[in-house]
Parts: sequence; C-alpha cells; structure tokens
Amino acid sequence: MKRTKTVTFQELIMRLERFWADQGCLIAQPYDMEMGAGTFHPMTFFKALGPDPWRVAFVQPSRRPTDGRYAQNPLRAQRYYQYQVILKPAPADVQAVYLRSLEVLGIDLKSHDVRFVQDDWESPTLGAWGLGWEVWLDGLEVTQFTYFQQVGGIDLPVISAELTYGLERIAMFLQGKLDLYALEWNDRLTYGDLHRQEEIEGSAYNFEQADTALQRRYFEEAFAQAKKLLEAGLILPAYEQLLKSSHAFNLMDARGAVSVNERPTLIAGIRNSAKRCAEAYLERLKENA
Amino acid sequence: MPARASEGLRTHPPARRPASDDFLLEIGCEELPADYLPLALNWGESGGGLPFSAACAFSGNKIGWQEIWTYGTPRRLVLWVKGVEPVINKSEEGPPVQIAFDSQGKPTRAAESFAQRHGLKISQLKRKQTAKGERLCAEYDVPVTKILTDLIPVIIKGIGFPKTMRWDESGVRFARPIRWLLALYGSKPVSVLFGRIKSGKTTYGTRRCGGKAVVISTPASYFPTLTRLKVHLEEGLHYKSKGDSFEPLPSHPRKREELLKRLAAAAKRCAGRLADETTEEFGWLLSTSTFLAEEPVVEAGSFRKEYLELPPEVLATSMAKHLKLFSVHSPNGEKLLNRFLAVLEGKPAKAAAVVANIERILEARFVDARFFYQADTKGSLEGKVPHLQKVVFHEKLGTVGERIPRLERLMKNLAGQLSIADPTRWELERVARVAKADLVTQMVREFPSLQGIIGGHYAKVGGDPVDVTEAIAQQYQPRTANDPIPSTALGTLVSLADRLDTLIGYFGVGLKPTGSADPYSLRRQAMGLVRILIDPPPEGISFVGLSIDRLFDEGIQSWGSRMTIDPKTLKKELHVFLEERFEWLAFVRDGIPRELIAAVLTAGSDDSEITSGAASSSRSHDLAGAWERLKILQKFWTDPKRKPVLIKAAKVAERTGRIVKAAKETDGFGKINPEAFKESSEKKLWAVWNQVAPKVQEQVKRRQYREAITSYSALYPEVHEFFETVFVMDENLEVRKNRLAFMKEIFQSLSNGFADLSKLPLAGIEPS
Repeated sequence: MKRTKTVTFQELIMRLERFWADQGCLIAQPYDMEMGAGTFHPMTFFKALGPDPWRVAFVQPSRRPTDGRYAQNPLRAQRYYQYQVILKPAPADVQAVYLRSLEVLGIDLKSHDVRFVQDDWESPTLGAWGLGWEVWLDGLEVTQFTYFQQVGGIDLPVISAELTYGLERIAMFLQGKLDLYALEWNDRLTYGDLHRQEEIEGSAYNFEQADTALQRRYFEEAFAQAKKLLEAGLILPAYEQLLKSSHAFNLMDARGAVSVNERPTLIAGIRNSAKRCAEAYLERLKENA
Repeated sequence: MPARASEGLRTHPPARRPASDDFLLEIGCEELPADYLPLALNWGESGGGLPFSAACAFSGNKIGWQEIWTYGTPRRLVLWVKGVEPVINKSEEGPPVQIAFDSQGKPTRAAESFAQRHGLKISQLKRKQTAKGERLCAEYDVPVTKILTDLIPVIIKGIGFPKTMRWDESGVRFARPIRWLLALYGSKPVSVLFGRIKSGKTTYGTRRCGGKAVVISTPASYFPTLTRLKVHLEEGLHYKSKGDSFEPLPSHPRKREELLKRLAAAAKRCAGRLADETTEEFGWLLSTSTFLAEEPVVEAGSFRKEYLELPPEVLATSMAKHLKLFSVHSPNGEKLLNRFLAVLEGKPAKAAAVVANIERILEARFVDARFFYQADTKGSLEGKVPHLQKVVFHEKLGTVGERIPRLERLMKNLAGQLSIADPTRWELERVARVAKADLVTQMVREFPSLQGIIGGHYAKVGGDPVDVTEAIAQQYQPRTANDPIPSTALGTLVSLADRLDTLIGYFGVGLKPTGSADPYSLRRQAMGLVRILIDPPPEGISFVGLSIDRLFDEGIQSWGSRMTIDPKTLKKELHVFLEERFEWLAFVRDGIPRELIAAVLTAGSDDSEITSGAASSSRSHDLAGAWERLKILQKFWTDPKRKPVLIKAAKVAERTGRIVKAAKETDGFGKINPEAFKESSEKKLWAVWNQVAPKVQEQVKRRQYREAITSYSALYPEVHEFFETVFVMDENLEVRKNRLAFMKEIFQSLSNGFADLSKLPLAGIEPS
C-alpha cells in the first residue's frame, strides 16, 4: 500500500474499512442513537447471540458523559469515535490479523512497543462480559480486544472476538499530535474545527445543565416502554428504549444524581431489559429456523 | 486345575528397562494476565498452579519422576519434568480362572477376549490370588508417552486461574486462548489434543522477533533455544519426588530479581533511586512488569518539572496504575524526580520514539490529575464536609457525615484514657471533622487508594497545621500487613477511632464476617487496630492498661439506636474478634507458640481461673498489656538460661491449678485458716508463701513480670513436697476446703495478673 505523508482521520477510517472488508466483514453504518460503545449497536449485541457466523465492521460515535473535560484534556472526551469489528467465530490467528491491521494503518511494529494488557471487559447494563486485553501502543491504549463470553446474560454458543479501535488515539499516534483537537481530519479541517465547541458545550451540559429530574423521567418512561414493546413482540424498538434509558442513566450519573444505593438497582433494571431482549431475539431465531 | 493351562502361564521376564528421560511441555498462549502468572507458577488459585497440577498428575498415575521445574512468561507456561520413567507397568485383573478355562483346560471366550483386549496371548496372562479367588491377570507395559497423551489435558485443566474463558467451539477453558502445545519426551514428540490444539515440536519466539518458529529436538535444547530467541523465563515452584509424595524445592524469581537490578541501575543513571521496594505497590508493579514482557527492556523518560507541584503520591500512582511506569526518587528518597522508567517488550528499533510517545501519554494523564487537583482545591476541605452527609457509609449504617461526631467521641475517649495532653482539643476536633472530606474529591474518585493522603495534601494547601495534615494522611495506616502504623499521636487516635467505629457499626447490625466472606474487610480493619495497639507506638504513647471495653461502650453509645445487637453480645463478639487477630499476629506473624498465647489471653478470665479455651477475660481486654506479658513469657520460654525458672513457676501453677479446677465443680472454696494446717509440709509451704505472696502481688502490680516469675518459682520445692506428702482432698470437708482455698490463692496470684502458666506445654518437662 502506498503511504501518504499524513494519515488523516478520514484516511484512517477508510483504511480500516478496506482492510476489514477484505477480511470478509460487512461494512455497516453507525447506529443513529446515543450509546456508550459499539457493543450497544444491534449488529454487535444481537448478532453475537445465536450460532450463526458473523463478521462486521463499522464506526460508532460513542458518548461517555462523565469523560467530558471541556476540551481541556488531550485524550478524553465525552463524545468520540470507535471503530468496531466483530469476528464470529473468533479465528485462531485473530491477534495476528489485528496486528496486520495496525501495519496497514502505517504503524511499523518493529519500531514500537505493542502489548496485550489484561482487561476483563464487562458491561453491567448489557449483561455482557468477556476476557481479553487493552492493546497498548507505546503505553497508549488503542484497542479493546475481547472474547465475548456472555451477552444479555446468555452464555454464547460461538465466541466472538470484538476489536474496538479508539480512532482518535490511533490518529494521534500516527500524526504525532499531542492533542486530539489538533488531529487532521482531512487536509483542510482539524478534529477541533469540527468538535471542540461541541465538546465544551457537551461537557457543560453533562456536568452543569442536564436536568436530572427530566433525565430520571426519561429513564423511567423508556424503561416502561421497553417492557411494553417487548410484550408486543417488537424486539428492536424495545432495545432502542433500553438505549435511551441507558443514556439517561449516564447523564444522571455525570450530574452526580445517582446515589450509591440506587445505582445497582437501576443498572440491574437495564440489564434485565437487555436480557429479555436477548431471549426474545433467540426465541425468534428458533421460530424462523 | 488343568495342568496344560498352568504350563501355558509364564511369568513375565524381567526385561532390561531403558533409561529414564525428561519430559517437556510448553503451553503457548495469547498473553496471559500478569496477575495470573505468579498464581499459575506457584500455588495457584483454588486448586493449585502448574507445578502442583503436574506433580499430582504424575504421582497419581504412578509415573516415576525425579524433579518438576516450572517456568512462565506472558505467552507460555513451561513444565520440565526430569527423570520420567519411560515405561509404566500396569496390571489388570481378568475373569476367575474357573470361568477362563473349561473342564478340559481349554481357554473360554472370556479368557480369549480378556487377552485380546490387552493385545496379549493367553499364554502371556498370569494368575493372581485375589480376595475373590484366583483370577487371570494381564501384566503389560505402557510407554509413558501414551499415558502422557491422556495426562497432559488433565495437567492443563488442573491449573487454577481466577477467571477462565472459552475461545473456540471445543469449549475448553483456560485463562486466555492456547495457540500451541509443544510436548516432548526425550527426543520423541508426545501427541496430545487439547480442544482443537494438536501438539507438536515447535516453539515460537517473542512478538518482537516476529514470533519466529523453531523446532525443538530435545528438552535439553529447549532452554538454550529460548535464550537465543530472547525469551526470558521466570521460574516457578519446583518439586522433588519423594516416592509417593513430593516436596517443594527452593526456587528463585530470577527474572524479577534481574529486572529489579536493571531498574535500580537505570534509576541511578537518572541520579536517583527507586521507590521503597518493600511496599505492596512496588511489589505489584515489579511483578506486573516481570510478567508483562517476555524480554523486559528498561528505558528512562522524563516529564515537565511543573507537574512536580502535584502531590508526589498522585504522580507516582498515576504512573504506576495507568502506564505501569516506575517513579524515580531523589537519592535521599524525599522528593520525586521528573523522571520515570518504562519496561518495554524487547528493544524497539526506535526506543527514543517509544519513550517520547510514553511521555506524551503521561503528560495527558498529568493534565487530567491537575484538572482534578485544581477543581478540588478551588474550595476548602471544610467546604466539602457537608457533602459527606450524602455519601453512604453503608445502607444500614447511615452516611459518612454521621460518622464525624462518633469519631470525635472515640478520639476523645482515647486521649482521655491515654492521658495525653498533646494533641490539643482543637486539633483533635479538626481532624475528626475533616478526615473523611477527601472522599468527595475528584482525585480520590480517580485514585481511591490515595484516600487520606489526598486529604492530607488538601489540608496543607488550606493552611492546616502539620500535626493535623499528617494525621489525616495517616488515618488509614496500616493499609496492609507491611504498611507502617501511624507515626504520630493524632494519626494513631484517628486510625484507631476509625477502625473502632467501623467494627462496632458493622458488628452492631449483624454484618460480621462469616467463613471466608469478609466483604467489608473487617478482618483487615481489626488487624490494623490490633497492630497499632501492640506494635511499638509513637513516642509518648503507651497503650498498656487501655480498656478496649470502655471504648466499645463509648462507641456503642454513640451509634445509638442503629445498633440491632444487644450491647453485651456485641462487645463479646468484638472482643473475641480482636483476640483472634491478636492470636494470628502472635502465632503466624511472630511465631509464638499457641500455648503461650493462650496462657496470656486467659489470664484472669472472669474469676473463673482455669476455664479452658480463649475466653474473653478482663485482662485480655487490655491487648497492649497482654502483648507486653506475652513478650516476656516468650523471652523466658526461648532463653535457655531463663527457661528453668519459668518451668518451676509453671509447675507450681500446673499442680495448684489442676486441683483447684477439679474442686471448683464440687466443693467450692473456704477461707484460709492457717491454724487449721496440720502437716509439716503444709505449714512450710504456708510460711514460704507468706514471704512470696506480697512480692508477687507487688511485682505484678508494677508490671515487673520478670521478677514476679522468679519470685513465684521459689515456691516450687515446697509445692512439690506438699503434693508428695499432703492429700488435699481430705475426708474432712473443712480441712479439704481450707487446703483448696490455699491452693487457689497460690494459683491465682500469678494467673490473674500475668498469665495462666498451667497452659504451657509442660508434658514430660520436669524442673532441673
């Protein structure tokens, strides 16, 4: 592959799309709702269940309200981009394939320090967990690498490998930038041009302005809706309500409006919804088989 | 018995056995967690690590072996079994001889199929007398390689990990996916299937070397090959076979030691030194670094000096926890330098570029820490106190804010009992008030392990005097078994009060630890409390004579209506809980014999003299006093010059104590009437006693226990003579009661105030 002088943010995404398409992945699109990670995308959550093989890759804008730093932190932001890859079943050479993808991005592995550092991943709200690593590139966590074991509280019959690239971090690495807002998105615009103001306002909203009473109402209503929709057999709409309640929870959390006592209860509520969605999905798979 | 058949049964000729050989197993993995490797190479998690699993598998299957050696890196676990016997003789009983041969002596179908099953001819079968009559018996040799084929999966499954996972459709579990198996017996490959992995003769180099594949011909050539591939193995536990059992051989964490040496040298090159190597944090970082690289390479880097304005603990914790970097301290250890040491996997082509990258990431972390620091120090520590009313301590125990007045009461009770003038009332109240305020800071939310330390820094920023800031910083000490106890009076008071309040609260609502479940770490809390009481205290403080019982009263009162357990039961449970920690520290940590501990803890247990077991006695409520007495007792017990004195004193206690105990359940005791003593030895003892008693009483009172033991031992000849000549249990009740009262007085004079010496292991020991 011919290497351009600077790998721009968009070039990085395009290289990943090409690489994973060549690996037989479906190149999917981001989900159009607020979510904390690509794991929440239905093409991850539902497709990891059941016995059928599945390969997918996509960008997912991700929101973590508590990570907002008013654009002051060079690494952390309350909204950022993940590149999500699911390989199901996980191939035996999955680590090697992953490392090849880094090389395709222009990272010379001989010159850098790559580590697979233990990370036991868990999403208490999705009832999902897996074992794997944070991948460190010269100490920078650039990818979350997980072998899913359970999703929606269900033991998976076929193990998926989930690769979640932190796009900004890899771009910073490639471009030698100290600050994510200085990243070149293309040859004219920076990441900051597009997102700095949004990040400042988003942080102010998350930490100062978000109406916690309103978020609590959203949370409860979405929660009730999810239940109703599941009873009506509408699995994806029910799951979307779960996404809404999960985001409302995160906002309440950022505002410090979740007490230590109620925290486990609220999380368990979302997890139960996720579990019911997963069970309903598997039930439908069986019916359609 | 048919003659022909027995002719056909030959004994097995004693074949010359080939020499034993070494067995090598390499389990090639995707990166194993650094925290799991020390477990897998040593005692393992619930069930044992690789060494134990292997030793059990070999010995359990009667395979002769000499030594087991184990090694590991993030990408491999290695088992090297030396001197494995090549052929294992097996025997299996078959059908009874009557059934195996017909009346003509011809083998039946039963005999034929039994022989066939073992690939033997009828003529090769033996006969064996068993409990169920004479039976055919197949004796046959199995090459060890064949047994190993079945055994290797058992060994692998026998390694216990905190968490395991599945990775392919075979469903086998391990800490991380296994990607290759190398199994050799001598130069012969051992064929194994584990999940979907087939064994072979190939090993692979480090990722830095591009995972180069190399065929291994023998176990002996494996280790030099790995050295060439730059794979540094860490040693695990070794075992030596002892026939049916096995015992550990000393092993050396060579890789860890080598890395420490290189880190220390690198720190020196930075004109500094490493952090305190004895702390738990340092131990963790060193172990993690050892097990996070196959070929550890140390590189030094630096950060901008302006970040040194942040608390050094924040910088060090941020470096260690987030990036696994070693901090570098000034040669006297007082200051942090703006340097760090990174441990990399192999030497990268552009090491400087790697370090520069790490520096950038570290800077981002420090920016984050500064963000917290600035946000936290915008307001005063005092201003954070009201927020503690919203921090739940435990749902049954209210909020952290509610703890403040209780901590203050306990601290005042302590200061009163210890009659220390320093700290002042203001300082004491101030510490109680703001000690917990850092729990609502962003910094502690980010680095929970720095609670207290952060509070101390923020108090300093806010202008609090050094006594107060140090006490806040020390309030959680000792955090771990090796952590020092608080070094200041005020720090000691707040740490004790914190632990007392916590223990009383949890026990008071029935949340005490059960079995191995201790979700609130109450054992650790209590251990720290006892350590503060018994370990050398800060200058000007002595805990001897401190009544823990009174502290419990104060604490229970201050908890008020939240307590659901009645105070008497609660206090008893708490006393027992603390005594158990006391016993643990004395026995496990300091190696003091249990009998000595029991002697001290049961001293003066209610007035019940010699009740057995660890009773909560009023003397044992003074744990510092008990410790002081225990150390003296231990000194006498272990000092060959002093031991004879102690034995004499103990014999006095044993003989008098035994008879008093027997009488307690029957007659009771009278008042001593010296006029009623008849026998000469009795009168003699009484005369001596009248000289000794006041001395012992006075010496015990003055805590001159050494002297008290010596005084008491002087009774031995008369006591001995007394028991040789006088029958205490006289028929006459009055005589009997009089003698018993005397014995009781002698016994209790030392057992109440010092230790019940009759508890010492005296069997077979006579005074010289």
